[in-house]
Amino acid sequence: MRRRILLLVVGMTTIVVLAFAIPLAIFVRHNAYDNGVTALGNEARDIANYLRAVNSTRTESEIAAYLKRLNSGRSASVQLSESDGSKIIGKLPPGGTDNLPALQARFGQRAASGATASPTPAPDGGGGGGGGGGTDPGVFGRDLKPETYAGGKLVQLYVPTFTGFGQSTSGQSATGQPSASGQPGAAQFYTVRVWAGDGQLHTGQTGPLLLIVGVAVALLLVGVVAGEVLTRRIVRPLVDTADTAQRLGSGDTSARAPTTGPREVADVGLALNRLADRIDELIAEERETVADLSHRLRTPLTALRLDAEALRDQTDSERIGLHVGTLERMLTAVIRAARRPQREGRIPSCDATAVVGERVGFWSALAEDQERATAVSLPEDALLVRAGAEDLAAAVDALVENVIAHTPEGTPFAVTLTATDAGAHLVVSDDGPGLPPDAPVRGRSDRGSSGLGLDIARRCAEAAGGAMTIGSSPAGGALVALELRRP
Amino acid sequence: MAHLLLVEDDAAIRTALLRALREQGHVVSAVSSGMPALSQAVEGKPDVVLLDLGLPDVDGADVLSMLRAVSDVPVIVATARDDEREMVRLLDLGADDYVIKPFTAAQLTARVRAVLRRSGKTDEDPVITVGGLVIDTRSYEVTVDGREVELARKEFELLLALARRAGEVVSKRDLLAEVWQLAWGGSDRTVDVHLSWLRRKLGETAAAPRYLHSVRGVGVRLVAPAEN
Repeated sequence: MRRRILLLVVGMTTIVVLAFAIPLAIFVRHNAYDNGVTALGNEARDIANYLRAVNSTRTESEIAAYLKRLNSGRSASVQLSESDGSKIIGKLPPGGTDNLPALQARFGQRAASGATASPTPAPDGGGGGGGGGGTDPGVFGRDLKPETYAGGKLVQLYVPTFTGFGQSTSGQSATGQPSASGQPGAAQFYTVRVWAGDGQLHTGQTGPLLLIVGVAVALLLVGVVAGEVLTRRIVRPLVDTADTAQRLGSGDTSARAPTTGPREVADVGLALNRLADRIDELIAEERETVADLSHRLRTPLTALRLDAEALRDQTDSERIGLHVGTLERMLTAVIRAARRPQREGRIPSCDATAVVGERVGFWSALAEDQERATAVSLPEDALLVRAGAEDLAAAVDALVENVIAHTPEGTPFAVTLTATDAGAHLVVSDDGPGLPPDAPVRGRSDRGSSGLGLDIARRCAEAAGGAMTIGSSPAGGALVALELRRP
Repeated sequence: MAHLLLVEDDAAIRTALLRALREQGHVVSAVSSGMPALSQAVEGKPDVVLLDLGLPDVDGADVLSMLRAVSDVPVIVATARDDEREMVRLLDLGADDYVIKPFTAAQLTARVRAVLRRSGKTDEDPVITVGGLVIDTRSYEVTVDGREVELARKEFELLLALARRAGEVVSKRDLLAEVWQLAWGGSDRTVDVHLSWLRRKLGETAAAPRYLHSVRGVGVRLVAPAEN
């Protein structure tokens, strides 16, 4: 669920970001390209203006220096056309002069409309000051149409220069380009070419595009963080509630869900808690019913017992009496089990150090009489374990009694209680002949308590969340270890 | 011997108890519900009333408190509940003793004896003396050669059971039945460990016994040291 919410938030953020970023990127790209192309035209015009700035011709070295100064990264060249030939200063577009398209625009003149305008720009007919100054603002830049050439854009300008008042230069190109209009005078014709590759034209977009990408990524991150916060607020109480349900399912009826968090989730928690309370009530009722029924069984059991005693045949009396005794013990166990929560609370606990110490002390008198060396090792501090004092005492009694019943008098035994990370570890070991292999099963025999010991101990350990293990002591005797968890 | 009034609604138990108590030499009259029990207790003047709590007409506890209002006859209550609260409640209501179901006839007669002893309605000597050992069955006091001995209830009952049959070997099975009410299936070690404590408190050991002598494979015998 957490992943899904996160995925949803991130997905929605991505869609929104993309919806803005893609058109924006396209626009930026276009804009940058347009700017590049405009800059291309501007450079051509700048060069043209430079060439015509004064009524004198520029020397070649001046032009070369100027072009160098521009240093725009574009390929800018100026072709000087003189009657005796042409000379090229600067850098020509790729492919040299051979494949250049025809000149379309003459500086200072409106470009011929249409892409297929006359390839020969008509030299200015000496239209007086207006046109003669080459300052026709209407023409400047607006109609300069860069052509697509060699994977880039090319601007070609035919620039006639003046050498004196009223005179205009007339073009004559060595490249077979526009011929002079027939005006006499020391005229210079320049062809200005500025070219830039597409890659170069697009350079201006990198910054804005990076910005867009950066903002998009930042927005996505914000989305992820917001999604995370949101999922935590929703999912954590939900996870806790699910955890509570799990614990309830596994039998821990004390588990209760948190009732914080979003209202809907809190409602689920409340409902679960009500359910848990109800389970508690039902269990309590059920236990009470079981205890009550068991109590009622004691009345017919009394009659049975009295009758068994009154049998004339002693063997029969004893045999039936044994069965009655077993039945009676089981009934008592049922009642005790049913009453356990009432007696010990939901999770029973006791101080193992005190209980084990007390029980071992109880048996010490008999051990002494039987001249058994008893080694008792207990922790100094109280050690809480998840078992009722009565049950733990019964387990210790059973284990010690087992040792006394199944080993010869004088056999030493040891009781060791140690604190562990999980709770406590109780070991009862002796130096006797060891346990028979079927020892754990012996508890089910009809002979009652003589074999019941291990069964009682095992149940106590398992109820305490631990286990009973059976092994051999270093001296080859029996060793029974109980693992008891803390409450 | 003594006149007992048995109040028990369960016919099977009533029959069995009547037989067992009569075998012990008691005179027993039986009723099966609460109200007749009250009139019988007043008119018949029994020595002891045996009252079952689960009666069809009136709750046994109510019978007990009503009975206490008109008579101070000793009452032994038979109950199926074994929790402490219930015991305290019954004793507070005026019961003299109680037995928990399922009980044996021996157990019930032992209680009857104890109650009769305490009420002084018995010809039995309340003080048992075995050599230097003196047991006062009314005050639960035990002295050895004039020295007072503190005994736990089970230890006292064990000593008493042995003292009543002083000189006899009493089997552990009998002791389990009489003292622990575990006629069958009890553990001999339970007797052993209490015997060990009793020995300690009487100032003797298994190796050097004075009063308490274990007879291997048979049982235990209480004798005065001089006789040994």
